[in-house]
Amino acid sequence: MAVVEVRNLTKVFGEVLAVDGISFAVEESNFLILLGPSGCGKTTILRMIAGLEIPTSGEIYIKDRLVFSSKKGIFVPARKRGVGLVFQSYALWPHMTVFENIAFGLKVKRLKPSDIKEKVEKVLDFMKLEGMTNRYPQEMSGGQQQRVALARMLVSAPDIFLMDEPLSNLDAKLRLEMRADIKNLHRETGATTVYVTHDQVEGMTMASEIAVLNHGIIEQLEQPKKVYHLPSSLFVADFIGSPTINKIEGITALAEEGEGIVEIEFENMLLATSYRQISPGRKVMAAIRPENISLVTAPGKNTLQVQVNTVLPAGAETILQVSHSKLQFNILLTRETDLEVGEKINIYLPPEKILIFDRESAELLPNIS
Amino acid sequence: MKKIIFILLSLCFLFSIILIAPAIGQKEVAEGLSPETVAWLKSAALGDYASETFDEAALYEAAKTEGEVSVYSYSSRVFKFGPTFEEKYPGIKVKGFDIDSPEMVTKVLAEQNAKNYMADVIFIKDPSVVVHELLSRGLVFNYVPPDLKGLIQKDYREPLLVHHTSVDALIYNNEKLSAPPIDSLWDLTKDEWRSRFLFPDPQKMSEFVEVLAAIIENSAGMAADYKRVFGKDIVLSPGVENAGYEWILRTLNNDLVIMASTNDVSNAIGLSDQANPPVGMTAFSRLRDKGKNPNLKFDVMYNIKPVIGVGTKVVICIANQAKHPNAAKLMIHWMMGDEKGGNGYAPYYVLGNFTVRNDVTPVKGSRSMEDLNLWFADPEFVWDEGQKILEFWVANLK
Amino acid sequence: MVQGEKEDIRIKFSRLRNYIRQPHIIISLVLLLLLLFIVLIPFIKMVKDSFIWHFGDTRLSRSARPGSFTIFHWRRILASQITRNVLLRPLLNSLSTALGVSFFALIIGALLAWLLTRTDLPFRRLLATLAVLPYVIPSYIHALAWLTLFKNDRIGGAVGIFQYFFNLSPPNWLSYGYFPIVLTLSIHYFPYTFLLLSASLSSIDSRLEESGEILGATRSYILRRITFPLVIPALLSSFILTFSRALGIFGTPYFLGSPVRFFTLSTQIYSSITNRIPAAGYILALMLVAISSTVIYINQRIIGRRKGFVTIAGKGFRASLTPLGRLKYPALFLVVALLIISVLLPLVLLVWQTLTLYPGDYSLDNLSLLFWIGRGNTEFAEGEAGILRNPAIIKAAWNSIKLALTAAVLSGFIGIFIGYAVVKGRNTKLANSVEQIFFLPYLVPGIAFGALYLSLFTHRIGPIPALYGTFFLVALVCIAKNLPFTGRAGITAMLQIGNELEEASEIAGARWSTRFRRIILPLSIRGALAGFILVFITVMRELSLIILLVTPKTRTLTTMTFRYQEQGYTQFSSAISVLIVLIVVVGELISRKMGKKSII
Repeated sequence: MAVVEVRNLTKVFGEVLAVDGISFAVEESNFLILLGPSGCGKTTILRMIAGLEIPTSGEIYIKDRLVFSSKKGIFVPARKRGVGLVFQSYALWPHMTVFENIAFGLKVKRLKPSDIKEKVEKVLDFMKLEGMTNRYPQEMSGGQQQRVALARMLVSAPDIFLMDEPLSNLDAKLRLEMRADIKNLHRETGATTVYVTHDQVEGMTMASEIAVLNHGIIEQLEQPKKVYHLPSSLFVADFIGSPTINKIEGITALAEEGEGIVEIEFENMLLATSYRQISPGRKVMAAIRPENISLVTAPGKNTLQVQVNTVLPAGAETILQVSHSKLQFNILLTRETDLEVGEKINIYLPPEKILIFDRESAELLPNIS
Repeated sequence: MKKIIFILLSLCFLFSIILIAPAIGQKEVAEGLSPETVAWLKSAALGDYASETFDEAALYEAAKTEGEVSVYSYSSRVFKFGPTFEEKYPGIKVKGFDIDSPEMVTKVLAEQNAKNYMADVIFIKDPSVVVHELLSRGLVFNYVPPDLKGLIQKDYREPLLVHHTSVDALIYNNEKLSAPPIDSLWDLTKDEWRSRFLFPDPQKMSEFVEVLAAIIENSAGMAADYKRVFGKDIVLSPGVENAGYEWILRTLNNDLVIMASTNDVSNAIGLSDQANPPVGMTAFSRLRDKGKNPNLKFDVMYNIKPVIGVGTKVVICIANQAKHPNAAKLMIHWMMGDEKGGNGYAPYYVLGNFTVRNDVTPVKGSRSMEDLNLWFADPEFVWDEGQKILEFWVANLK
Repeated sequence: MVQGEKEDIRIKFSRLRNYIRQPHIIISLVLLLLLLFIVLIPFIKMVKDSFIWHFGDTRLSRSARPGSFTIFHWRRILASQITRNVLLRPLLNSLSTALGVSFFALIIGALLAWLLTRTDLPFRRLLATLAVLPYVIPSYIHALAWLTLFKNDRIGGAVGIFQYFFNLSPPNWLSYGYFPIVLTLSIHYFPYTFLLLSASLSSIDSRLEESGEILGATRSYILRRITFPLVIPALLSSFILTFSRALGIFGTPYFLGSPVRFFTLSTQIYSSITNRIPAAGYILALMLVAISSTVIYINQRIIGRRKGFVTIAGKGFRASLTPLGRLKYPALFLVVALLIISVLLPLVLLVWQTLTLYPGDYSLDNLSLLFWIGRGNTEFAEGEAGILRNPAIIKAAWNSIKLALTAAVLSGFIGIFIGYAVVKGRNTKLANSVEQIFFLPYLVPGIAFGALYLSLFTHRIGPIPALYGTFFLVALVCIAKNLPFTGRAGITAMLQIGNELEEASEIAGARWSTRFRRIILPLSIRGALAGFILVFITVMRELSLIILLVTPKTRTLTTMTFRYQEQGYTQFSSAISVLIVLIVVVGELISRKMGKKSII
């Protein structure tokens, strides 16, 4: 059963189309991450699900209940939707203590004070916030505040967890920690979660599904691995992965020998791929992830001689930036290297790792090999 | 969405216009007395239903059941005769309000219009306005205590009871000068009195419109005195109607100094140790200030021609639908005092105010009003001409 | 087809319903409705009333029929023998006064702001605190103090201190009229410019200037090409602020102008209305509104809509301070002298005057506490008791405090709602119109605003009784006139809260009333307090706005001052003024104690 389902959801702010008729469903216990650059509409979608923003058109179901429909004129306000939301700023009430912050929702629901106390203490325990009951938010560290915000959401046991970039205000180390915490939280509670972030690493590490958004539409919605290895569009390919994917502009050609292997012609060179059955003469963009490029000693098929421009050693990994005339490549080596800037090296682009996108539609071409 | 809001707003707008609209229509007051007013007059024994005798004890009993009386007074002296009234008639609370005359007219009109009858006794200057705007519309009624009828001559009883007459007269500094420096109103148009003639602002104080009106009304006398002073007939400036207006024009052109109050005038003129004190017109009753402040040295110039000043009347009446008519009657009776002046009249038993009762001995040191060379403005003339005079005044301010 | 259309309407309707059901939309609509009642309707009513005969008009013309239409009043004001003295000269005087005041207040304020924010002048912080005080003191106090000092023998036996000690009569131009009016009002209004400009100056990142310096620009070049353009909005705002206030000011021109027949539109409005020719007053008030609207319109055209008004907020950057060098102490002397002249001197003069038994005699043996605690000696001032024993004055003091508190609380509260509606609906047309329309009362000069209310509420309007003479009406006008301030404070407070705090409580299941009570109100109340205190002070010393509306029952300290001054009892009027200052200063101190800066 889909816990959250949106159909044809559209939001227009004045003249700006923020969300452009998107549809998706989140199954029970799934962890969906809405990923995209700022301004892509991901937060707006989350806020529309929460009921904080009125969509321009479309429908939203939560647990099969229609909570918004432009056609039927239904709009269930946020407080009646049974959702929990963690804000980017945490939005802890500065005039209330930790206890009061967490207890607020329960008080609003008029629970007995003894029940409230029990529930709040339980969730404080769970979030490792014991002994902080009487602190004010301003007196706590960012990480602690984050936990309070999570605790506040948890205590009401909502049907859905909604999180709006909850980690973006934390420093790198804490972020890593909290990432694990949230993942554990999800595993332990099994709550259906919709999580907004612009950080693709968060997306890759935490999600069971990723929706990559761009200009108010979903470019791709699939499992993280798929999104990474088979990005459906150039945008997704570009957005996911660090360093950025390498792109080579070219025109398709058919290899003379072999059985219809597509080759890409660029700068008087030919690059073999694992693709078949693409008509020749098509304007395409070949793409390859930096970690898929390897260094070789001898020139050969699908090798290029390049010049090393930058060497960025990062502990166990090294990023090389190399160029071949106008072409730039990022290469990710999982080892250290003693290459020098200016050195000439040969790189190998394995055909089976090369993706081909149509340059006009920017879409990934199907590889029927 | 915008359109809808716009429509909503315009609807509210229309609605409110409709709300306002009746406010205009209801301003008209019907001529003749309304049945409610007649019923009230009957119950209050006023107007045609007034009793011929004065029974103080009965009135007091009736007033006690009313419990209070509110007095709209043009002067703050209501806080003096109010407390003495409360002492004399325990059980009746006096609510005194010190309101300037024009404001009082506005207020009474507004209250009567809103049928919110707050006032009982109206104690006010500017009889022409009271008669034409309030009495003629049945918004106030005359009450003359029956026992006083024989003691007050008719023109002080009709159309409204006059409480007292006050006089505005010319004064000079009698410390610096042994005798009045001028003997005619026309002297004030001479160059030697340039910027040295003080006159209270008629735009603020209606009694000085009356002063100007009296001068205009008696323009023949003004013209005659001009001839006496300058030895030739007066030549009126272009567009000026008569010698009275001409006098106003010339004093204004002679940089007459407009003052905010009669108090300012007497202080300005009377202060001792002045090198070149001015002269000016002020309330005769300011003479009483001399007793209070040893630094004040001034006196009225009794020999000015054609007149030394102008008499104005202060009237007293009962508001239409007053809630405490018996207490109001008792209050009016109290304010009119007794043959020795009396506690109720005491605040006005001072130099420069003249009682209308013919049984009261004049205040010590006071000449009787008949001995003073005065003009009185006819309320009808003030009513007809007052605004024109004021506009003439305003138009010629430089 | 028809089915489809029906469907279409239904969708539109439900969309509208959803839209309107949002609390901030409801609040915006309610606020606009409120505004309709407190600004637009009075305005329309005033225009309408200028075209009808009123009761007292039978004096003007025998053909007057109260309630019916006439253009008589317009003709009388615009084309009659009195036009020159009732309209043209006062108009010119009002304009020249307002311009003169704006000009000098701007210069003094700007110089002071620069000295106290961007130079190394000693005691800057203390001086900056003191520099706001002239604004706290009622404006006409400067006028009264001026009279105490420079009154010559033109109008009064009781001469000023100057003449008393030097036995020299100051010339008329020094004692009365344009010169002292402009001077005293400039002294009163420079804190506007000072506050706005120092906020603006200290929010300019000095790195902007430093980068100019690194590029080799001279100090004066930087001042001209970098600093000045950045503070232009603040300067223009101060100009508008000062101009529109000075245009509607009544007390000062009344006290200082009347003796030399120097009338302004505001004094003419007052005299028309006290003379019971309200239509004339309304027409003149419309002129005032027209002038200030025109000036503000031009201002908006120059600097663009949104930047038009600068709010005082923003954290200060660390500014680099210009060393004054040898000018340091002369500058300090000038600033201190300015503050003494504008704050200390008037107060000392007034206190001294209240202690003189006979006015105009400043010798030591003439000192007395009679006017403070006297039991009401019949020898003085018609035997009224000293102000601390005088029931009428104590009642007025109570009225003043009640009025100021009521206006402050209610307009502060409405201000929070304005802030909520505006911030919540940020950048929507509705919110923008709320924000802009609530600025309207600001544009209407004080005395004209009073005239608006006089015209509307003298009579019954449908279910609303005639409010004239009630405390409620006086409070209403004070609330309405101060909404621009509290609205601004509300917006600032709400911006600081941020949207998410409320949304978090909505997610937690709280309905709007709970959210407002438990989250919005507690969080915004501190920020709104600044507006609250400002309104308290403003109303405490308000004269122009309420002079037309106050009746004996609702008299305030300011109108009592005015009344006594008019009747020539200067010691009383001065003593009450001192009392007002005391109350205001206590209010200000309480506010400082609460740790909030006062704002404009």
